[in-house]
Amino acid sequence: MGLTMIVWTVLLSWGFEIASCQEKPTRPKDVWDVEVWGGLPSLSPDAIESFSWQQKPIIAPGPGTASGMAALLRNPCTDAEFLPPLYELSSWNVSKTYLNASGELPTYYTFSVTLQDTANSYSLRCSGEFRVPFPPNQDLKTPCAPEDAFQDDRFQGNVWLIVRKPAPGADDRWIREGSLGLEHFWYCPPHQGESAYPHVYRVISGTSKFNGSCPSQQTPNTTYACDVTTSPGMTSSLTPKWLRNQTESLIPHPLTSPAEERVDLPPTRDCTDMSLTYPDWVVDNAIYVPNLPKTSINTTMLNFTITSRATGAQQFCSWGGNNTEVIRENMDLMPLRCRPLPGALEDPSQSSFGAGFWSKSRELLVRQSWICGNIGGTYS
Amino acid sequence: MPLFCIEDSGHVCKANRHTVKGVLQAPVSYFTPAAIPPPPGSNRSGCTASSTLPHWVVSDFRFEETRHRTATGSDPGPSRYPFGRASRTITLSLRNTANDHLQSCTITLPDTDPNNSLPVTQWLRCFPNTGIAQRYIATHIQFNTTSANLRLNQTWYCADTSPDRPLLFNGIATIKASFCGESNTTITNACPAYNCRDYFSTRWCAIGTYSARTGQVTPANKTFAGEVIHTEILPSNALTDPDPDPNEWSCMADSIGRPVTWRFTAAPSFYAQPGAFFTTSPGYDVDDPRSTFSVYLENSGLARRPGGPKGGFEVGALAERMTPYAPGWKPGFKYGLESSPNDIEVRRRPFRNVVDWGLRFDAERGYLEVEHSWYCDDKAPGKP
Repeated sequence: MGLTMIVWTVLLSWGFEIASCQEKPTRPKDVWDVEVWGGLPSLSPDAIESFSWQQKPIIAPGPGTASGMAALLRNPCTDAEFLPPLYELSSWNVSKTYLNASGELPTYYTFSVTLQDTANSYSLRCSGEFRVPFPPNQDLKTPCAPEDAFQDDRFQGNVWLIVRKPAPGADDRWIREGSLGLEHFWYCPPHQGESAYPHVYRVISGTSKFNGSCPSQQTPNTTYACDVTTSPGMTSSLTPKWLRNQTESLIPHPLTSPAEERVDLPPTRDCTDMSLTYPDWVVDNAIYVPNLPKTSINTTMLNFTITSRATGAQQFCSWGGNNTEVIRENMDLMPLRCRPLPGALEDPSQSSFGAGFWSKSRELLVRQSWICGNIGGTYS
Repeated sequence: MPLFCIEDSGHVCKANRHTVKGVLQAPVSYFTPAAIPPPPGSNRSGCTASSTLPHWVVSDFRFEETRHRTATGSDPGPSRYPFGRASRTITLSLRNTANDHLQSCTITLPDTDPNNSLPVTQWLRCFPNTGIAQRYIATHIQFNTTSANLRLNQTWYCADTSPDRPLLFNGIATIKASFCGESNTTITNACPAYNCRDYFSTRWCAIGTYSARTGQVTPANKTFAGEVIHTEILPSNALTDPDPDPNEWSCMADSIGRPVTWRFTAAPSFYAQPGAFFTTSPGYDVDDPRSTFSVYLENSGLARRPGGPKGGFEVGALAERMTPYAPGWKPGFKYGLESSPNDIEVRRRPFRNVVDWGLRFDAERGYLEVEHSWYCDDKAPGKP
């Protein structure tokens, strides 16, 4: 399109740990040892604090809320009485449906089970549906929700019941030979102060052998109840693997930078946008009295007031009097001295003006250095 | 600087107030900003006269509220596989006959509950897809899904009759949608599980011509009259030399005048753990092609862009296309992506400022590297 686009290319990199159910190797260094290579400025502490780690809202107990709901609020972040959970599975309801015998439609299982944390006194109901054939080499994960609550965003993904198949290709054997696991997450809002980052806690259960049975009839479009309530091990407590300490190390910690000691005042307005739009000056009250013929250039007088449109800074620039040192390399150039007007307020942009005047061509050169920053004074 | 040497036989010279144009040497070397351009169409002949009784031509309008649910196996209906939250979009193309300015936009509304189709009561600003200037024509719309009324509130400018006395006009109009209806679509095997079906239920309203043969509404020009509710005489420099409005987003100022930060948010997924942006199948290597990386990337330089997506834009990639961690990686060397950038799936590029992005991710070490390029042209359009 005929235009050369100037693009900013930035490269940033850092290491961190992901929260997954797999065991991780020992990390070579701290997870938030941020490294930034090239490009634009690095991540600021503010940005890290606002980093969203999929925080889950804490549900405030409303009037008339069942005690079970209040118990759900108990978590390792806010409740000192929180105990490492002890899980029990009960009230199994499993069925198997044989669909079209021609094989066009697969068989599917439905199940639901009550998951109770006896240590913290609450229960959830995990309900799911497994189709046959299963996706290859994939654990079947079912979300759990309060028994009297709809499975909504507040609970989705916090507790998962995991069914592991015994081996690839053994879709129909899971009811007899598969195993069960449990994964439970708690999401805690960030606290202010030195721990201003969200926490995530996780429990991974051990596994229990699934030893149920289903009728072998295959009458199409018929649902049969499966028997798992009498299977050994199903009502025994799952042993949680409490990962609090390890999990803490997986959570991103914000980099703490030493507080910057500022001696200058924060700006009263952010001049960044104006500087990128109108980096111009207005010259007022200019008076120029050239030197008389055959007299020294030092007898010349030049002064004016200059105002920056971007910053509003105003200074008085002059040449003459005691300030009459021409540039020796070029006896034509008269460097002007610029200084704030008497009684002027402190300039937050810390503007520094400079000017030069070529007497023969009567050209004026103006230069200004200034600083723009946000009103809060956190950057400039 | 023009000097007038008329006093004392021409020996004493003075100058009137003089503006010296500046050129930036840092942080943008030799960057000469362009003045903020006047609003489009403000100098068009007849702008002022036509603005007293404004008319708008709607060439395209469509409101869609789509709900989606996924079902597997025998589907007894939404009672078992309920609809998720409803997504709502408004598409609009509108031309003001006074200044001949065409405004087109697509507005994505916050998702709403599946069973809660409340009318859109808030005024929504209709931003153009390209070129946001400081003094742009401001267009706000409001669509009531119950009455099917589209309300318009637009502010525009005219300086054709007296450039020293530019005028601001604020006009409103109410336009009723021509047709509303509901469409249902079923797509089989489009979702991850075997034999699953995606159901889409869409409530829509449109302005145009209805075809009984296709059952669709074709966009057609419809002219509507409105009224001016406010007129204001602006200062002479209001259109030609205004200061930038600090409340308006500036790509340049936000990109080079402030620390640039990136925010990453995991894209929500029913199948993934909350907060997880990388998923892979248990038992498979992390580089398995089925592993996916999906994240919202928000760049602070673009985050304030009005009308832009709040959560940034979504980026994603498949594991087989990610470069494994390279031991001895040196910061001065650019490794880039193992495959060509075209192999990376760009799911959405919501606006043109985003030029390119790339990433490397090593799940074993938790190493993430992102490269992001964008450009700005709001201060010097000739030199983006």
